[in-house]
This record gives sequence, structure tokens and C-alpha cells, in this order.
Amino acid sequence: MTKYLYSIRWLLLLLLLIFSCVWCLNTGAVALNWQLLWPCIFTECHALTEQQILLELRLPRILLGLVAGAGLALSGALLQNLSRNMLADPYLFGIISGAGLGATIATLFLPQYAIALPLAAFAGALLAMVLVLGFATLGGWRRLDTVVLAGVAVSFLLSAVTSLLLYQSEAFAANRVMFWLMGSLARADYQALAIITPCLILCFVLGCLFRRQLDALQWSDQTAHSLGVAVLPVRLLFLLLTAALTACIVAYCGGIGFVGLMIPHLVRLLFGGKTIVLLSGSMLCGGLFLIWVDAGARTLLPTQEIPLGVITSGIGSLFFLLLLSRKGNHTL
Amino acid sequence: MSSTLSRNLIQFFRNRGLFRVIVVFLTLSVTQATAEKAAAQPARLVVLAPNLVELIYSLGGGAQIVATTDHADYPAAALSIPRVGNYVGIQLEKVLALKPDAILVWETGTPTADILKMQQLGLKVVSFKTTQLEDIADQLRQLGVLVQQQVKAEELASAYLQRLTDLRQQYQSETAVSVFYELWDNPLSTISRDAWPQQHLKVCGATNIFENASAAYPQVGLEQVIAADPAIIIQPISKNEPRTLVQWQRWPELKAIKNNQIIQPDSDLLHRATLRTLDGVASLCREISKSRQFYTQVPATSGR
Repeated sequence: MTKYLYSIRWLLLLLLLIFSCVWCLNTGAVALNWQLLWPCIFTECHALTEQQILLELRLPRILLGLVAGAGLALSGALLQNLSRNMLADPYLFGIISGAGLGATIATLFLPQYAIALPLAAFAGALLAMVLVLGFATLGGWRRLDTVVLAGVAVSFLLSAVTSLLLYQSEAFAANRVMFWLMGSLARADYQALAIITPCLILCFVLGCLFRRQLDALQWSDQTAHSLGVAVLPVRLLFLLLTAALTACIVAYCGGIGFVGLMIPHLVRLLFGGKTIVLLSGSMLCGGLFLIWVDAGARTLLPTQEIPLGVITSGIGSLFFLLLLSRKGNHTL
Repeated sequence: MSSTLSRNLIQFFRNRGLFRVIVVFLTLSVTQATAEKAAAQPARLVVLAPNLVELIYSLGGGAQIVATTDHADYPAAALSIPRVGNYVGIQLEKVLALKPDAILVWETGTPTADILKMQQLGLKVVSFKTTQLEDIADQLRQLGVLVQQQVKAEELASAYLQRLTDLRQQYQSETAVSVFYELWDNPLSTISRDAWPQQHLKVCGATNIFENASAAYPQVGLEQVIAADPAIIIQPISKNEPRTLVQWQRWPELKAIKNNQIIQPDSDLLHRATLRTLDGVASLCREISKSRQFYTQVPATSGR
């Protein structure tokens, strides 16, 4: 790829992102006038309802979409590189099941406190992560596969507890948790942004600082060792960081599948696999992807919203099948 | 892992039929609503529960409803009210743009996150919750204030309570008869003491064989039903949302099958908390009473 073409791609991606933000801001269940956008957001708006729709409903949703999409894709990219497993995704540690358990407990026992749900979901995600990492530590971190399999086991264990709790609860609690797990940006507010954004920035900055180590890890542990990389500490640091970032996102947005798995693959196809390129590209594409998915979720059906996870998993699985058929017998 | 999410989704869609039945309970509402002061102008109402829509129509206030949710299908006029979401999520933008005077929500069925957001946005949210048959009368009175039809509301509420008392007097002291309430066929699900239709069975003097199950809407095994051998099997069915039924004829030794005592009441009436609920309860009680008489005449197969 010539350098010129390469730069054009980045420029196009940035322009597309800016255009998409503006477009999505003006897209929703209620049709708003384009001319209202600027004054309502930046100066004074005469129409209170429109201003509320823009500033309190759409803007936080779009910002959360950008941050959550970027975060999931960044976590996915980091995990895939750390584990050299192209099928790794941010829900590796049974995080979604842990968050689901937390959400269930909050929904059933503390329904009157709005903050209980994200807090409990975060605590549940952390519990899953601690269980998996604890198990991996006991096993002496010999194989990364063990971590992945422990994630699967913990995931099933926590799901079983969730199912038991839901089964014993009133009928609607099960629905609420089920729909929460399907993912949505409807809970978006500035508090969610204030929590997720710093985690995202920290992950990205550390990813950039450790780019050489992460690049080396893509070869093999031995190669990385011989290049002077402290394999275990670096890996543990980023596993913890991505798990914390994902837990924050899941706590506010529920389960949004496939973003973390699909976007890094797309970025590798478009921009290549060097760590810094992969991380920046994943963040931009992840955010871009999620705001479009959310715009679709808000507007595709005339009288209701579609859960985000349904769309992302639908698109993601099709993308994967397409990729597999194109790759043929080659490994991903 | 995302596989768990997929598994949950699959499980959800597998149970979707059952879920729909449960959704009809969405209509369990009432009480706990804060009394509202009558406004000078007819209030513009966004009503996010089908049973509340139906009750408002009973009071003659249907014209004041500016938006509602899916499943609000009675009376026929309700079908033309614009929709702003369902039990998964409410389109808050549309609700805001309608500039309603009040939003009537159903405590367990309207998404909690949306209720909170509407309150944050400064909208007036009135919450309803139904747990007992008497709650319907209270709801009528509260809605009467909202749509400025207090007199009519009082009349309807009193008539409703009188009818409920009459039904109780007529059936409650009759000989107990054991019943199985087939809420859904696959997975086989029923009701226990905490479920809404349990009250109907109580009014009719019937004993639910799963009354003491710990979950409100428990899944049960066929073997458990066969072991309990109920005198009557109740299969509530909906005209609007057809479903498959357990083919009980495969178990000819069951008392209810041997004596052909299967009742198929209208679930649209029984599962939605409105003035029509008592029509459904009265009809159910009549059918159960017929069965009771049948068993009295055939003492060898007593239904106790």
C-alpha cells in the first residue's frame, strides 16, 4: 500500500466519523430540523423539547456509542494480540455472565436504586474476571488456552446462578434482565461517559506506550522474551485493563456482542496489524460502527427500538462467515 | 463470552411463546398511583400499559390518550392510538415531542430505565401496580380523577366490587376441587400462589395443585401433574395470540381426561386486569362449578 493511499484511508475514516456523528444526531424517532442542530447544541434553543431531545437523549447516546464501540473494539484488538488468538473477544473472562448476574441481583433486590444496576453489573463482571484470573494464576499461567477455557466454565457457572435467581423471581424481572443482556444505549447519560471515557483513554495510552512489547508478543512468547519483553507482567496488565474497561461498558450498555471480535479484523484488513495502527483504527471503527448500529436500532422499526446486541451479533456473524469463506483454508 | 449472550438470546426466543403469555400479565396494574389533581383542560396522557388504556376507555376518556404501547388492542379504537414502544423500551424522543401532561406507567412492565429517564426529563410519571382483583376498582377511581370522570369511575368501581363480592359469595364456599392451570405447554408452565390467575381460582373455590411452588410461574414436569391427578385441567387460550396445547388425551388414565373435564377459558379476559376480568372469572367459575356438579353426581371419582 502506498503511503499516499494509506493516508487517504485514514482521512476518509475521520471524515466519515465526523459526518456520521452529525447525521446520527439528526436521526431519531422524532424528525428535527437540521437548522436547529447548531443553535440547540452550542448556543440558545427556543424549543425546549427539541433541546431536551438533542442534549439529554441523543447526544449522550451518540457519545456513549462512540466510547463503548471504541472501548469494545480496543479491548478486542488488545486481547487478540495478547493471546495470539484471533477469536478472542472482550467477553473472554465470562464478563457478560458476571455482569448479567450482577444486573439480576440489582433488578431483583434493589430495584429502587438507579445506580445499583451498573454498580452490581460491574461488580459481577469483576467477580467473573477474578475467578478466571485466579484460576489461571493457580495454574501458573502455563497456557493461555487455560484462561480462555476457564472463562467459558466461569461463564456457564455464573449464568446458571442467574437463571436460578430469575426462575425464582417474578415473571417480569426475567424479561428486564434478558433485554438488558441484549444491549442498549438507552441508559446513556453523562455519568456513564465520565466513567467509561477515562478507562478508555488509559487503555489506549498504555497500549501506545507498550506498543513495542505488544508487537513483539504477536510472534511468540520466546521471541518476546528474547527481545527483552517481560511477557507475564505485560500480559497481566493488559488483561486487567481490558477486563476493567469491558466491565465498565457492560455495566452501562449490557451485552453488545461481536464488536470486539469483528472490528479488529476489519481494521487489519484495511490498515494492517501493527499495534498502534490496530488500536487507533479499532477505536475509530468501533465507535463509528456502534453509532450507526444505534441509529438503526432507534429508527428501523417505527414504534420501538431494537436491542443493539441483536444487530451487532447479526452483522458480526455474517461478516465472519464472509471472511471465512474468503479465507478458505488459510488461517485467520 | 459472547456465546453466553447468544445462549440467552436463544433461550429467550425459545421461551418467547411463554413470554407472550406472560406479557399479557403486563396488564396487571393499578394501585399506588398518586392521586392527581383535576386539571382544567383535558390532560394529554401517554399510557404505557394495555389494561390502563382499556380502563380509560371504560371511563370514556380514550380521546385523551395520545400514545400507548404494543398490545393495547382493546377496545378496537385503541388500535389507532400511536405507539411509542413496548415492554423492551420506550421511544423517549416521541414521548417528549408529544408534550404529555402525564405518563401512566405500569410498575413492573414499563422498563425501569425509561421510567427514571422520563422523571429526569421532568415529565410527570404516574405509576400503577396491580396485585389483587380489588386493585382494579382503585385504579378506576384514580384514572377517573385523571380524565375528569370521577362520578362515572365511582359508579363503575362500586359495581365492579359488588360483582366481585357476589362471585365470591356464590363460589368460594363450595366444595374444593383440584385443578391444573396449563399456562403454557412447552416448557410446561403453570401458576402458584403468587401469580395473578391464582386469585381467579380462589374466587371460584378451586384448589391449584401447584399452589405452593416457590416460583410464581413455575415450570413443572408432566409426571408431577400425573402424580397430582387433578380433577380439572384448565387451558387458557387467547383469540389474539393462538398457542399450542398439551395433548392430555395421551394420558387417558388422568381423572380429568377420563371424565372429560378440560376447561378452555379466554385468557385475554383472565390475564388482563380490566373490567372484563370479572367476565372471565365468572365464566371460569361457571365451568368449574359444572365440573364440581359432575363429580358430585359420580361420587366414585370425587374431584377432591
